[in-house]
Amino acid sequence: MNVEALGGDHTERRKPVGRHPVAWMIWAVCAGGTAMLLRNPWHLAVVIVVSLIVRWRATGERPNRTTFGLLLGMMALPAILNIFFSRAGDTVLLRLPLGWLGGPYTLEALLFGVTAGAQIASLLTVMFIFGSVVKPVDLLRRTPAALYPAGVAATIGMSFVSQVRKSFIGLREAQQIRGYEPRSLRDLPSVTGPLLVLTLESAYGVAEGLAVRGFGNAVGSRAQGRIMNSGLAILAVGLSVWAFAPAGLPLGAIFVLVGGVLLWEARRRAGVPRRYEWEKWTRADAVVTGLCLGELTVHAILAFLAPGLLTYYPYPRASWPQFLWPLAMAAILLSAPVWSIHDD
Amino acid sequence: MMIEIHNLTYTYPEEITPALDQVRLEIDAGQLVVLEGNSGSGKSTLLGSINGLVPHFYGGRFAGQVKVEGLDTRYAHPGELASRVGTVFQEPESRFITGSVLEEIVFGLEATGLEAAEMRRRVADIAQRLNLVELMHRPLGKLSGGEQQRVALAVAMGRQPKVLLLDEPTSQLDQPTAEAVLSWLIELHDSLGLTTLVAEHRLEGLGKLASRRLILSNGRLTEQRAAFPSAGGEPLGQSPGRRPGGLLAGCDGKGRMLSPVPDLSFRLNYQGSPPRLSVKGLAAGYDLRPVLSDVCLDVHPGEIVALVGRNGSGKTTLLRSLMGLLPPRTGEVWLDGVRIDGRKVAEVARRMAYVPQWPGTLLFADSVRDELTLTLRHHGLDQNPPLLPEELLSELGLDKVAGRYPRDLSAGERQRAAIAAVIVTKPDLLLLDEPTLGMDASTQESLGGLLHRLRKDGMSVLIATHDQSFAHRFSDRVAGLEGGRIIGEVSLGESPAPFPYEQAQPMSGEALRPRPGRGRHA
Repeated sequence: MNVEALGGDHTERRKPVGRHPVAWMIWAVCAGGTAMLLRNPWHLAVVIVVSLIVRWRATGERPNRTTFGLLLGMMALPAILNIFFSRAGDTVLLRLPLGWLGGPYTLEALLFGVTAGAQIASLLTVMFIFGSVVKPVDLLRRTPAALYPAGVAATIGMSFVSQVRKSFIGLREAQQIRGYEPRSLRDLPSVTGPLLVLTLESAYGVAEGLAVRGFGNAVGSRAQGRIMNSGLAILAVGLSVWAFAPAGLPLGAIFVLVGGVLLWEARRRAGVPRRYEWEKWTRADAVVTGLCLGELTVHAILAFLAPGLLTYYPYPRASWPQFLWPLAMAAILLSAPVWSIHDD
Repeated sequence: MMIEIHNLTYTYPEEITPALDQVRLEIDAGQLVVLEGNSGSGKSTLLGSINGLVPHFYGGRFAGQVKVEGLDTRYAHPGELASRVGTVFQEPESRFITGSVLEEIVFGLEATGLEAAEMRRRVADIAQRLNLVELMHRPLGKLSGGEQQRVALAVAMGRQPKVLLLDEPTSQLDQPTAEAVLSWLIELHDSLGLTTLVAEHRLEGLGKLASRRLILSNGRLTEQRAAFPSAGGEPLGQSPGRRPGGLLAGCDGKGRMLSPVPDLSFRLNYQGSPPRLSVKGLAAGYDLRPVLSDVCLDVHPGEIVALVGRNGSGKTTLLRSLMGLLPPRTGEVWLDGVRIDGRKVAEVARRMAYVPQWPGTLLFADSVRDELTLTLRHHGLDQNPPLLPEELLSELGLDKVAGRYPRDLSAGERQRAAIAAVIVTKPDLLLLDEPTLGMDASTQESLGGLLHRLRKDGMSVLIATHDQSFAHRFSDRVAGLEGGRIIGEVSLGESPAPFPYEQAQPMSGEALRPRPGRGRHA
């Protein structure tokens, strides 16, 4: 008998119904990849706004004041650091006679910091949304046994925010029970220390739970495991060659190709993984995947052919960053999940 | 031989004293072995050495050898051993990986490579046996402690391992569920030849099942007897003995009679006296799910009331609502004639202390002693403590660990440390949520003795527990909670048997309505 047939309490199930986990993973790769290729603050802002709308639609949680406060904070911090430590730029806003901290504070340094902050904010937004719409277990199920430590780290990372929140609530309750209520910033250490301990303990517990459940020891022959490990190692070498030795592009391609073939073979030998219930891959998932991959392809091609269109460099004299409608429209393709999610 | 342990000595990292010392043990396939020992004696560590967490996960110094079905745990990692060994931890919530009950059970099964049809069959079987059908799509974080433990059992048993390690598996379960779990253990034992090692304080129900009985003391396997003194054993949860006059006496896990139950002959005549705690028509719940409705309850000065009920009946929710951690939706809570619902928790905490079910978050100081000092300081009582910390620690058997980091203690020791940390201010009312969790018989006895000493000084105690033996031995009155309502009450001496849920009729709110006598929010 199937558990579905047994009935049960379905009231807690998430609504609305989202996309296939693989479609979400591809969305995250494309949105994150785009954010990494861009330095134009306007286009980064488009990625952030689109991502927030996607999350709103997928989880029903609308962005609030805290969300925007965090985003502003992420942009402000690099801007402040850069204006203090960079002396480059022609447009001097302020000159302070303060020894090593003094000197000209420039508009260009401020703008460079803001764009760096916008890039960090967009990447973290994408990762945060990925963590909201994809359950850690969906990722774990698709993690090859050879990548066990990465799977554990990803699981803990994805549940980190919710775990900190849970620990904070528990800690606040415990302190109230003991007659204590933090009132000002001076009381912060009494919260942060225990919070860190609780969160680390929780991560430890998850890792312990995974270990005794046999995660990382999936069904498969030793030979298949060796092929998988070799494939991953060779793929990593190929990607490293591409990243650090651009002249070795063909050599890197050979490594990537060999690594890919070995991974394919390992996958073939492992057979079809067993699932209690497979998620259904729909036409809408295919459309979302296609649109997102198309969007990333456009940006990747531009990064090779016309990188100037994607970046913004305010030095030596600040100029207004240009807003390119075609690129913005391409980034809007990342909103594909919004149009394909249906209510339960 | 299924499990072979040769001269195992294990010391945790940064510790000097070994947690296990020269342990030798052989367990044949199909045996059901009960592991006894006081809190901190090394029971969980011994289980960890069999599933490979010791030493692969925890580190530390490991000498000797452990073999599971011929597989040497020094070379086999926990992941490899998982196909042979299933584990149920003492605090299951912290080991959950997924979001819902169904996902949690399925996650472990998928790793085994079973056919989907077989997975579905097993999941349905487990869900029915452990009464989880209604919970299958419920988020794990919204389950009660007992429900979480049932899920943990389902996860471990789903893989049908050859060896099952259970670290206090029934400590949070109500009597019917605990009996169901144990009967399933017998069935698995008989049909699959399962080898089972159970670390358990609650031994009554295991007597007739266990093949062997091991006793751990300070890391040494000191005694190994063939069987329980009473092979028949008492039905689980039934009180092990009864003293003349309707009072119940217990026995420890070794069959010895415990020290006499504290003298209850001075029981107060509560008739007509104003209640200390008065709950009127209380309703509470989480999100859209109501848990409590029209709860009415009185607790008088110096009275110990046990709140018993099945897992998920609302015991924890009631205590949280009384404390103000979960604001009541309707109803009133009065403490000594002062209405306290709606007041700040920190304000209420001076007069009403609360120890949650898993008190882990309650302990965040550098040492057990500091925990008590911290509470006193928060209430401005550090110069003139109502109870002397050292005396309290000694009474709860914590004097030897007073300088240790509380989170490194065993579950039972942590529980006692949390109780000490909140009662050091000598509150008027103490709320205890499953206080006997992880406690051995002698520590339960100490706790009961302490509660009776405190009640002589006028402290009232409300205990949420499914441990009916403890409830009947140490409380004046037992109130039954079922489906979020008080369904009846019995006084000690009138009915020493487990609370008769089936016969009890829901109580009228009016019949119990208290008359606080003094004004609102005085």
